[in-house]
Amino acid sequence: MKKSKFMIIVLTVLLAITMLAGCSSTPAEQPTEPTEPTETPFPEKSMDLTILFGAGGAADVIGRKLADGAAKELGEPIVANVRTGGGGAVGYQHVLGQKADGYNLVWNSTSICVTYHQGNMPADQDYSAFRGVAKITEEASAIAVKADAPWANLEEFVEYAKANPGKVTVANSGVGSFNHLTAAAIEDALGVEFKHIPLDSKESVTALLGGRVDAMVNMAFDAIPQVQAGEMRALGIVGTQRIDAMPDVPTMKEQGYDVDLLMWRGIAVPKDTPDEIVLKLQDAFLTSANSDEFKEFAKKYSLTVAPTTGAEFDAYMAEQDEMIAKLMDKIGLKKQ
Amino acid sequence: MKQNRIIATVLLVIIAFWAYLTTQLPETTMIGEPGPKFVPAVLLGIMAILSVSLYFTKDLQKAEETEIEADEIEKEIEPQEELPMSGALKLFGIFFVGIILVYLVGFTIGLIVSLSAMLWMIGWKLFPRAILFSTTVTLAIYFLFSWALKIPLPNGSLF
Amino acid sequence: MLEYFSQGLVIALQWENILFMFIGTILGLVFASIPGLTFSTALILMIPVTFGLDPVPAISVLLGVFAGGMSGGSISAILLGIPGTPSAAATVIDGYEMAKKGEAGRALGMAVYASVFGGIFSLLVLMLVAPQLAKVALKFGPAEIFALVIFGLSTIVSLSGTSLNKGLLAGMFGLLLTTVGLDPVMGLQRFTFGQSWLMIGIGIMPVMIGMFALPEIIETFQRAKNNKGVSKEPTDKQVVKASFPTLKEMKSTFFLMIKSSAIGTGLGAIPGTGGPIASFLAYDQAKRHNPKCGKGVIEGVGAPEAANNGVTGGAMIPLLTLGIPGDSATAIMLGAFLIHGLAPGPLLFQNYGDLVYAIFISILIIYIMVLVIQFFGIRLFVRVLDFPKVNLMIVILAMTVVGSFAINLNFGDVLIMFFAGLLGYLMKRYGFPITPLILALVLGYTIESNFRKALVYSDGSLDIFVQSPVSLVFLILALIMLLAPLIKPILEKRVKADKA
Repeated sequence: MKKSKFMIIVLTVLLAITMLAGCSSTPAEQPTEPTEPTETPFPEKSMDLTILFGAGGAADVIGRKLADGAAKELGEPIVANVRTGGGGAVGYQHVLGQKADGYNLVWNSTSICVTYHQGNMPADQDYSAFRGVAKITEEASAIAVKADAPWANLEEFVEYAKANPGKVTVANSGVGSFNHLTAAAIEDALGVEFKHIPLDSKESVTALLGGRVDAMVNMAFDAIPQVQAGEMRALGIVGTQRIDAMPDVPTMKEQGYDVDLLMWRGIAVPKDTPDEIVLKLQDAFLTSANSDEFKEFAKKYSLTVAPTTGAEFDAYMAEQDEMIAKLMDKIGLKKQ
Repeated sequence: MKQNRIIATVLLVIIAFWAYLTTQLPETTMIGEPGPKFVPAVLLGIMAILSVSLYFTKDLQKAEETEIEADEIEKEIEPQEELPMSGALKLFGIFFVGIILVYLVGFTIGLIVSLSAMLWMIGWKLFPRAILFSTTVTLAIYFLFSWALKIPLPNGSLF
Repeated sequence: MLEYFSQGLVIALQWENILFMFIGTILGLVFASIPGLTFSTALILMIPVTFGLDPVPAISVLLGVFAGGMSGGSISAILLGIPGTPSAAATVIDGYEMAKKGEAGRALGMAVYASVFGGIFSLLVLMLVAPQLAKVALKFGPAEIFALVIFGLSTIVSLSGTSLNKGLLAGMFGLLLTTVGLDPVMGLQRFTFGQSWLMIGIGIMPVMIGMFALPEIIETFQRAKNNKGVSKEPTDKQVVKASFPTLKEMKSTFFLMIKSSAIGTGLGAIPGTGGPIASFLAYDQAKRHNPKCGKGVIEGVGAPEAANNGVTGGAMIPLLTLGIPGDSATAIMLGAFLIHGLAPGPLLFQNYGDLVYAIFISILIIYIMVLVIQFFGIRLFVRVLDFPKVNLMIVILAMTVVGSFAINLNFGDVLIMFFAGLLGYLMKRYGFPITPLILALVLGYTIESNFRKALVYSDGSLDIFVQSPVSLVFLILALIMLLAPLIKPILEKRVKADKA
């Protein structure tokens, strides 16, 4: 009969895809000895980690790697799901809309502060609607110019910028982006005034290489390949320490300018999640973050692994939020 | 003549509403940049002109329409038979209820109910044929996505 | 170079590499050919897999999905009139027409031929002039991209069919829909009514799924109802034969194929443009080539398919030479490079020449696989038409819900899909063409963001669009396209008057 034949073919196709996918998704190879069930049995099923930015990007790849390690510790898989949109707002609101039972996590970042103050989150959902599980990584940004630019170092660049206020074009990664804030912070520290060009981080690279802007403020990671190839010159690193991939580039602090702004990432859950669950998650994620495997991996993305506990993360978020609010107010973007 | 007038009027109402929303948008904070209002405003302006011109355009006669060469996809479907619009809208309605059910009580129940209902409406026996077929399809897809591809399908917000 | 080539050959021909290319190609084909699924989903699913692989197999599996997906999108576009990927939206126009005439096999054959042609053409460009082309692509700033995309938009005129007025309205409405969501420059919400699900904006995928699939499904159901539950099938069991274009057809379409592939490669190389735009521009060329386009001719299938596969090689150019991904597919590939400690960029060719050549050779092998798999697959695919249509449509209906949800894991997209379907039905009913709306939806964001960014550069002066020769040329071309329907009748009258 026609219909049965059709069903058989449909099922065969489904089965084929299933098998292909089966060998693809490796959910936490055998769990290393089951965690002793002392108090509440957690986790009992797979967890959902919301990733806020595009599939295949740094946030996504690092988040997945970290989750893999933590899943091994917890004995249940952590499935990374990309929920992009609204500069992170869509993903944050999704997580806040779920039960606070520890099964819904978010790969949190500086974006929570930015997107809240930009007015894209409901008024009662700022960073404090979340509870930190662990802070994991820090990432520095850099200011770079084209290799054949007339400025050999930051000194000369500042001199020129001071002589031409509002003339020096600086590409950032979009209005209200982390790099826009960094550029604003650099303006403050250097005592200059830039003309900000809101591109995205990849467009910034092409704009600088194509000679359409004078400089860019971007994640160090995006500048590294160009600097190594001699196409760009990094003038300074906005961060606490130099970067292995560009050891010759001094930090802003070393050059006498007090600006350090780091893009941080961590794991967070809705704030009502019970203590013992948060602690369990914290241990798993910290173990994963401290593993050599993860550190090796993070290095490829020029991230510093700087894990802290959930409690420290909460305090850190509060402190960062205040600073970011101030910067956003300065560039006229603070809505709430 | 009448049809184009109705469409144009509906469009103009939408345009007016959208234009009102556009006026509510904030100004830009950047020098040179025309701001969030600019592009919607231009588009709405062009659409308003086009709608007005549509209002005064004569409806194409069926014969005329088939005469003209190089048309869009819809062409070949049209001449067969005119399907009643009410029937189509009913089917759309059931599908919409199905989508709402998916949101409320989850993917499997929502789809099984709405798919069975649609099949029943077009003349299948509700039991066992329609229900059996929609259940098989829904479960196969559910299995494929949640289990094999690890894509979390909606479980229903009521639970 | 020859040394790199032989080293690359050794790497590319390892059995593991071949195996993963094959898996990738099949996955891409399957995902792209099922309406509701797209090869982007397949790429995301492959990310964890690439963690555990060597660099070349990791890239190969992704390349396989990318190339297989680009060519697989045409299958459901031709057979069901529902494009499998946004890049196949232009293929529907003639492909589905051909299928209705009983020439599905011929259309599929042409699509495969064109896909492989475009893919290999772009590979040659990638191998021979990647660094030079990358330099040209760097010259495309916001003003140039804006002009280019406006030129792409102007093809609405030729897509509008009987009523230019209605076509333009559909196009403008499509552009308007792209303003929903976050403002591309300021990052503020527009027309979202505070709903977080609207912040992503109105995506091309849910709208495309809804507009192409739902009206088709509903119509099938209605016909079935009139026949007591059995859809009236073309009783004259059309023997759908899979047939490749004949030598004569290949000859007559050769220049069109070259042109379309070049359009695809070029647009692929410019970050921020890509497949859908390329395929519509190429379709416009096909229309010039054969005015019967739109009624089901092979040119209308071949041109967009050559173009969207040309994008695969083109998109690799900025990725490999600059480390800049042009779209979401290459962004995932960039990730695969980085996790293996290979930073694509100017140094990649110097430091890892053998790997680069291994990738080139892999692309070639993948396209040979696409050719072989599709050649034998066509016989299988056309069997889809043998199934009772109602049963098939129920499966697709369920897929539209899952597919639109799975893109962003956002339930709002399911609602958007539904309303797009309803709108699509009404538009069809009242003679509004759908393709201009889809084209506009693809282009809208790029147009607005580049227009406004260009003005930030120039402090608000519109001169920026005419000072750059590239931008000026494209804007003039666009103007000609837009004015053509107004000028043409006047010219024709003149000619007639002269003759009289």
